[in-house]
Amino acid sequence: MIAIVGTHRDDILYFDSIISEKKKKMIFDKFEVIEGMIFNQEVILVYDMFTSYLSSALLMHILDKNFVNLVIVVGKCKAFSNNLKIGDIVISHEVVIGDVDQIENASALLGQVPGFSRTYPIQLDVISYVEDALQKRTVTNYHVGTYVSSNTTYQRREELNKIADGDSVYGYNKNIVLDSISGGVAISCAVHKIPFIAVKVVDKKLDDKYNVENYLKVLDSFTKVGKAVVTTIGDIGRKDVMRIK
Amino acid sequence: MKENRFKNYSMRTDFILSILIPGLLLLLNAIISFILVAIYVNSTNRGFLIAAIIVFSIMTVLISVLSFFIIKRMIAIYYLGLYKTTTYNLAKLSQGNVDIKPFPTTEVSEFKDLNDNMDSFKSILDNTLLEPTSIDYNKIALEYVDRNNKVVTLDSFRRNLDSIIIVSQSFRNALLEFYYDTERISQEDKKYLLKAVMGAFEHYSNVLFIDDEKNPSIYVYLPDIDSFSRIKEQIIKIALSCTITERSTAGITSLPMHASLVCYPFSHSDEMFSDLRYAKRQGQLVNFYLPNRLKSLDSGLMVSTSMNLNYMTKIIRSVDELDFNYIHRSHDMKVLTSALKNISSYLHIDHSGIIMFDQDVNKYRVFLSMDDSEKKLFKEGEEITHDFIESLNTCVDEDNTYYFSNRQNVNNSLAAFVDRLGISSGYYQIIKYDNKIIAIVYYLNDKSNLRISTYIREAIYFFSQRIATLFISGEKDKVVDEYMTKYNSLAALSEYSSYSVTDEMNISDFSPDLKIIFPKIKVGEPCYRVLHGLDKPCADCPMKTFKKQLLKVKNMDYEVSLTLNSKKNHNRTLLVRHISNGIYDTNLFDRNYLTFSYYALLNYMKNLYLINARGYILLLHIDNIHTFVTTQGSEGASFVVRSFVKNLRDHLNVDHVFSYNEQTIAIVFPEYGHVDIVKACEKIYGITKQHYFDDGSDDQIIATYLPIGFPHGFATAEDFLKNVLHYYNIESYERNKDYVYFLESGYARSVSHHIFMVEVLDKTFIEKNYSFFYQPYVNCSDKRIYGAELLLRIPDSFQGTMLRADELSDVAAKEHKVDLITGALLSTIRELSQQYSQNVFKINDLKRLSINTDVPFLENDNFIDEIISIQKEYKYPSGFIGLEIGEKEIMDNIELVSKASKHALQRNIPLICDRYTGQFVSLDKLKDLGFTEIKIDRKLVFNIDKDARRLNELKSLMLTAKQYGIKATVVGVENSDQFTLIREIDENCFMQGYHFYKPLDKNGFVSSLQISNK
Repeated sequence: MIAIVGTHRDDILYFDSIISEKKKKMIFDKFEVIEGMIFNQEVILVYDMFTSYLSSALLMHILDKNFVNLVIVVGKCKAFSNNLKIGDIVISHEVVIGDVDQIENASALLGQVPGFSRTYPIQLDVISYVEDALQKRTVTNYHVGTYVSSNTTYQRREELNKIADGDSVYGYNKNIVLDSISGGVAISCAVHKIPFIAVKVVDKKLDDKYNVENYLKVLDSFTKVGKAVVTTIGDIGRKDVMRIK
Repeated sequence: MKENRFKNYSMRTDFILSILIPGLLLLLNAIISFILVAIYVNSTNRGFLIAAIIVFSIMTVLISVLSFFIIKRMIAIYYLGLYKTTTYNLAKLSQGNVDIKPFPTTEVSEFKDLNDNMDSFKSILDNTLLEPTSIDYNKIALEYVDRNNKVVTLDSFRRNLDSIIIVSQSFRNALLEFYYDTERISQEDKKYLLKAVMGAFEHYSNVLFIDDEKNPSIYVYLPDIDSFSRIKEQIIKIALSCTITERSTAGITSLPMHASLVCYPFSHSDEMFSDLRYAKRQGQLVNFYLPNRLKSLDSGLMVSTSMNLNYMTKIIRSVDELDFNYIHRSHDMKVLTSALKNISSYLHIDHSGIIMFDQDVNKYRVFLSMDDSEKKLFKEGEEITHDFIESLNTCVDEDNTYYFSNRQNVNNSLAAFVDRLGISSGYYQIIKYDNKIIAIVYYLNDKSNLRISTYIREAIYFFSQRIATLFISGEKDKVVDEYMTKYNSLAALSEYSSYSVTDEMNISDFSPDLKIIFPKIKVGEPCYRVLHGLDKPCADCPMKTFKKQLLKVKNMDYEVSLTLNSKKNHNRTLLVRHISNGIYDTNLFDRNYLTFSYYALLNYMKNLYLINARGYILLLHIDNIHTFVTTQGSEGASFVVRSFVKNLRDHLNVDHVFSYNEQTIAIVFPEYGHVDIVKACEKIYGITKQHYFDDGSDDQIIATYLPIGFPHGFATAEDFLKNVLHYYNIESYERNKDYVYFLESGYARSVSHHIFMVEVLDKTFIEKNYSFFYQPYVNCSDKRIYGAELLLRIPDSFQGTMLRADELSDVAAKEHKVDLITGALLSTIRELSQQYSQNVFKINDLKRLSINTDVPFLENDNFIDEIISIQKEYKYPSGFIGLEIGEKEIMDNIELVSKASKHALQRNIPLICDRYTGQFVSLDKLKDLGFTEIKIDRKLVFNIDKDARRLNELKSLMLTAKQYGIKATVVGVENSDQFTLIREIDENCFMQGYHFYKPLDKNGFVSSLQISNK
């Protein structure tokens, strides 16, 4: 089974509209999830995930109860790096947590949850699957970058002063984006040793005012992400066998 | 002391005395009468009997009189005073009126207590906001479709909109529509949308959700909103989670949710749905439309309420005493503090005050802070961060105010600050000067909600505006002070000084350095006395002679002029200049005309030559300068030229204006071509015809315009300027005509566009130097030519362009020469009909020839009659010849069109609104005027194949026109994509554009018609 996680319903809308054998299910009487099939693969769509606390708790349960072999985080993110534009697609190369400071308690690094590594790198195979799919199915510019995840929705650059120095965060300075759920997903996947990836669309740049008209660009990119992820699911699910005559 | 002893006694005592005194007198009367009668019985002395009768009678009369007065007094105090006053006051209070009257002043102490209580009760009422009664829809016949009585049908909502608004008219009532840009959506998607919308707005009291069963729309009616910015934020939140998908052959496409908002009282109740339609036509994801209309009070029920109006007056009047005077600033601050305090107590506000910007340190500080609770929110003088101010500024509505009645209604960007301060509700207003925040007036509550009606909000808005005026006047005072300091410093450093005088020639102000030259100078003293030592005004005063005055003070020469006067007959500012040895310095600046000198022109031309620039130098020879010198004096003439040069800079937006010689101005236009220079000359002509004197004297400049192109084969700037001088001096041109002469090509014309057009009109139609082109428009469904628009073409040989036909018809109308054009039009149609009416037009089913007309054409009865006669003569069907009038022209002459159109309509001549955008005239109005067709402006068609929003805008307009039964022609269709998109909207429309045909000449049109419609 592949889990697709989003923050809003719109984030997983593309998958919702193509999923077959669709079933709605409630978890803990609170969270609605959608189960079904895409390209003969079992898929679970999880949404209404606000904060890494929630995404971690819910993913932990889903990963416990199902045989999940990949978690894909989709939706919107905010650009920290100036080269990223609204509507750009960013594939995660690694995820770091932006609001953890346990230096005092456990001699950990800034951003490190004691007992875990500070950085949650994405498997290169998984990145190449998504990259291939984006190149094959869409004509779009995508970036591979670093996700800084925190429970706070940052609006201004100076709010990150504790972890950022100029254009770099924890020393990363290329294609940095901010989101609020991939950190929790990363922790759950690290516990269960399951690969994961985040493929999100930039909907706002830090310090810029939000303009709702940009949402049309974001929706356009959502479709591209949707196509690429579906292709990825298809590629992962292929069961071609080479036979020797 | 004696008075006081009797003045105050209780009600109980009053009652006892009122009964006891007559009772005792009655008893006394009985005892005395009894004793006297007993004595009479014992002694049989008749004198005792008589005495008894007399005593009894007197006492009875006395008691009766006393009783009468006591009863009268009791009625006055207890019935008329107590009962009637109480009844009156209760009636007033029940009407929400706090104008109650006190109980009568009497000796009864309880009345005094009652009045004391009444005073405190009245003061409570005076400072209490009367909240309107809760909104109750029970008496309104709404049809609910859910169990919670929240969702109603659209029909019942529309039917009862008036009644719904009446019950909540004291507030801002918003009507929102959430919709998708598609014909229909699935029930599941609609349910999801309704759920999301209900989730976002359910905390609003008395909210109604309206389900449009026929369309993919959900409406929300919010009877009491706080700020528009918060509503917008909530709409955006919904938009981010309510996208739907649509499957088509192109794959899965996302359809975002759109929302539009209108609001009462901005829109009248009967206009809310039509305004909502207009809002939708803006085509954005979120569309707000808050029209600024002022309707008559008697036009409807809605604005007739007077609730809280008395409170509005009280709030606004509380700052009446403000002086807005720099000198009375401390008085103003006292008034302001007291008014703010009263309003805070009236609104039960916990914290109110003013935050001000301190320009010297670039910081915001709390200027005034008042707290009505134990918690101190801000201390006076405390610094407020720029972040906080920025957040406050982000949320405000267009009127720079923000109101949140409870914590739930706070915008996200402000929420963090509000939570940090522990605030639940509030209102604030940002005061800006020169687009910079200079102050913020705030009213904030700790825990309680703040519910204020729209009337009170407006009152507070005006109250804060008055505060704004106070601060802005302070800011301006500061700026003026700074300028004055700079001005005085500069004056001290230069060789110039100045002074101003009143009508009585008394000095009203002077630059400080003038005191060095004239130590006796003093404000209020006559100038002739302190400056010249005379007893009467100087004979050579520049204000009389309009000539410069020369002065000699301590062996130094000075010149007094009127150079600084911006308006000749009003300002009386005189400029004093020290003349060194009587010789003017060579300068880059011309001191008489206050512009660049000839030397500056030379330098500038050298620089242009260095960069190999091309362009034009325009010499403006002022032909009537001598007339000015004769009538207005040399200073008067200088004043005219100076003002003209200033206007050139202001209105023409050119910097390089040079003084060529005393009667010629030179303007350099780099990178201008000959067409540009003609347009520039036309603009300059407009400036020359402005008035500079208020006394009605003839002050319009007549000039000759000599444009000379550069580099024009000359290697250096000096050589070119020599050539310019040569051209200037040959004088092979007529003066006093306002003509432009291109000396190189010999082309000359009037710089007045109007005169030029009249000349063209005369020449063209006499010489028949015009032509007509035909712009076909086609049926959308089969691309067959339906009709053609006749386009008048008059070439401008010099510019190599065509003259605008609409301008020409304007000029013709003004000069009463419309007949020239109509005659040409009709003769062309007649000529065309003779040739082709039967053999081409009829056979090929041409349905329409339309003529571009203007309002003057419509007024011309002969023109209409002639059209009818052509139609009859050549047996054209009714409505074959149509008249096109631009939307803007219709708006500008709506009354005339209304009258003149009747004539055309009676004769079945179709009226077509050309270049229609919907910006000026509504479709409703067009229909009223009798227009049956519109030609949609090419602006709306441009880029529809690349921009979905533009396509939506066009679609919305076309569909609305269809609803009104108005036929639409889409103009400017340029490619097949646009054609396909428009055809998808309405297959029955007409189209016109380069994708089908360019404007064709007669033969081209006829052959195209034969091919297209064969």
